[in-house]
Amino acid sequence: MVPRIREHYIESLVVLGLAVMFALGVVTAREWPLKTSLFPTIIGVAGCIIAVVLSLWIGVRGGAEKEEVSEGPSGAADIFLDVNLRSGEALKRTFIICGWLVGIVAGTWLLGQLIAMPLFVFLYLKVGSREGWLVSLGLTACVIAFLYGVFDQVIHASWYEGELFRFLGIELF
Amino acid sequence: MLEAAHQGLLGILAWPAFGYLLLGVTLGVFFGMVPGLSGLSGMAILLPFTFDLAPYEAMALLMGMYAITSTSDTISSVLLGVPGTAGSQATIMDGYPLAKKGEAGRAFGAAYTVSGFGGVVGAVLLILSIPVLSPLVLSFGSPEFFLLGVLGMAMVGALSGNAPAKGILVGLLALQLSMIGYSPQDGIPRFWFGAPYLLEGLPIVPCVLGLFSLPEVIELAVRRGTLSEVPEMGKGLWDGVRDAAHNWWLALRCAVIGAYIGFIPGLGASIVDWVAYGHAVQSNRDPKAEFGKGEIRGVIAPEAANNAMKGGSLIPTIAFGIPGSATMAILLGAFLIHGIYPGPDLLSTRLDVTFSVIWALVIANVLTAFVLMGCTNYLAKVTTIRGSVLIPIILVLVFMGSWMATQELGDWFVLLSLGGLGYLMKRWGWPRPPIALGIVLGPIMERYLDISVSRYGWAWLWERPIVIILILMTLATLYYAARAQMRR
Repeated sequence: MVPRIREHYIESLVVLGLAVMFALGVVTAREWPLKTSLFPTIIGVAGCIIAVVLSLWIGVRGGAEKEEVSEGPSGAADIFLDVNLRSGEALKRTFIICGWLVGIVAGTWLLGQLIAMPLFVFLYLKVGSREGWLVSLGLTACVIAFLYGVFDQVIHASWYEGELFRFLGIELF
Repeated sequence: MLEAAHQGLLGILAWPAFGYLLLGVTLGVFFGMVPGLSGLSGMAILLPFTFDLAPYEAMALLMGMYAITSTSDTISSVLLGVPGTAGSQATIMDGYPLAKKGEAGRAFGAAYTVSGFGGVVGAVLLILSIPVLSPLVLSFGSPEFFLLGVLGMAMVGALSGNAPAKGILVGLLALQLSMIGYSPQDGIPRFWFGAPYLLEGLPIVPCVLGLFSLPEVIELAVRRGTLSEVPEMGKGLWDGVRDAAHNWWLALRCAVIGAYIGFIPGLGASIVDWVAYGHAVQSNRDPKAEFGKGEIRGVIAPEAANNAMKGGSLIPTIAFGIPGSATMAILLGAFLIHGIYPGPDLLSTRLDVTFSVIWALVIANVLTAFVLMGCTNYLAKVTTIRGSVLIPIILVLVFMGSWMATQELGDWFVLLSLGGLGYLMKRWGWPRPPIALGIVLGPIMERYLDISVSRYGWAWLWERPIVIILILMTLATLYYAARAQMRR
């Protein structure tokens, strides 16, 4: 039960953080002319009040409410997570996929999209998912064709060049 | 009006618009069928591709995709017991038991027939509402439109989850986020934290993809495994069609319910199927009916409603510029990108564009119903693809879709930041639709508020009858939401 209790306190603190953010927004808006500050002030004041009340609500009653809210679809807008993320394996998988997401951005920053995206697809399939060579190379080729065909030739998107090539003075695109 | 309808039809049937409609339908089948994706993801991904298209072509692509995700989502609901989208949760109740009984074909036959029917009913209701809505909208001024925004945010916040206070707070947070960048009134930079990227404001596409797609990808990666356990479908497609015809009155009632729910901002896909399912159970007079164990009426009701909902949800978006859902918020963004301003504009000078949307809805629904009946067996195999193979493909689409917003790495930081936020919100049971709505509605509401205050002072708050009605409706929404939460 300990992790559950901790989690609803974390949620309460996050909401309190939102209250602080709304308050800072109101304070900042005081430096602007009325036309610019009117909307931020109204939203900030309303948000701050609701956030404080909700933070207390979650802190006091959060455990009981969370039981209702988080378990299964109940007509709410979202299909709620049905994965038990408290298990170590699920947490590990969550970190791994988040690592891949950060890796895409880092890889693009370093190598540019036209190299980083196909490289990600290949590595995810071959290393991350242990797929066969045919699937890995085939899908990577499809992605290259898709990126080049759709984004480069049809949409004429501008590509991020990659800091490594900038550093080396190589112009790829 | 007839001339606009004719012009809208010709616009959609002309090439290349019709080609974009077919492309949208094809993509919509994919987005609806694959759990984790949805019309919302599809709309967010396709939006950047419409930047260079003419309005008819853009509407054909977007509506072709959007209209039929509620039809194709039946595939995974019936075969896998996993809702393809939020609007097909109730279909599982009887669709999956039917599939387990070897009557998946019957379930599909009924579902596709009433889906096509429901989609047409929703579109017809949309057409019928135009003459009524047009004079009403034309009588609205800035104060009324501002209050409509407030009402829409209150309804979306309060009703889109089962924790209304959280929904309202999320809506306010989204409005706060919408203020990032230059002020629309006098160009003063706000909340930009010294980052030049933020001066232009948060782009909607990375926000939506982060909020809605990344959490699904993370979940798919954590869950792993193959999806389908039912590779073959039994016969009975035409039995299902006959079931649908036999239960036409139920389908019609549920289609009207669906369109009505779609019309109310903040309800929509998440509850429409459950309300229709509940209606089918409550109105049942057949003692032999076994809902929850493979009763065909348990498939017909939600499937008729969730397609009709699409037409209904277009009404507030087109007539008032108030999107009833996150998907409609993106469509609203598409309108604005193409220089089309919802409200009086779409009901008068650009009525042809409105009709092009309606025709796209009708054609896509009917076309998809026939096509899916013919090739469901083949399409269903997509859902048997391992998640590990789907994930990199989805991520390429998500990241490149985000990149198209401003084509800066900042788009991806927004994507990841909102993805993290979306994941936590999903995990903690916070409703996410208000965020997307707030980011889109924020600048519009601020503009109307500014005009209202500049022109009328604060007297508009108590001198205009429609404003007073809207304030009372907002207060009533908040009151009932608060009361519901207190009871929990």
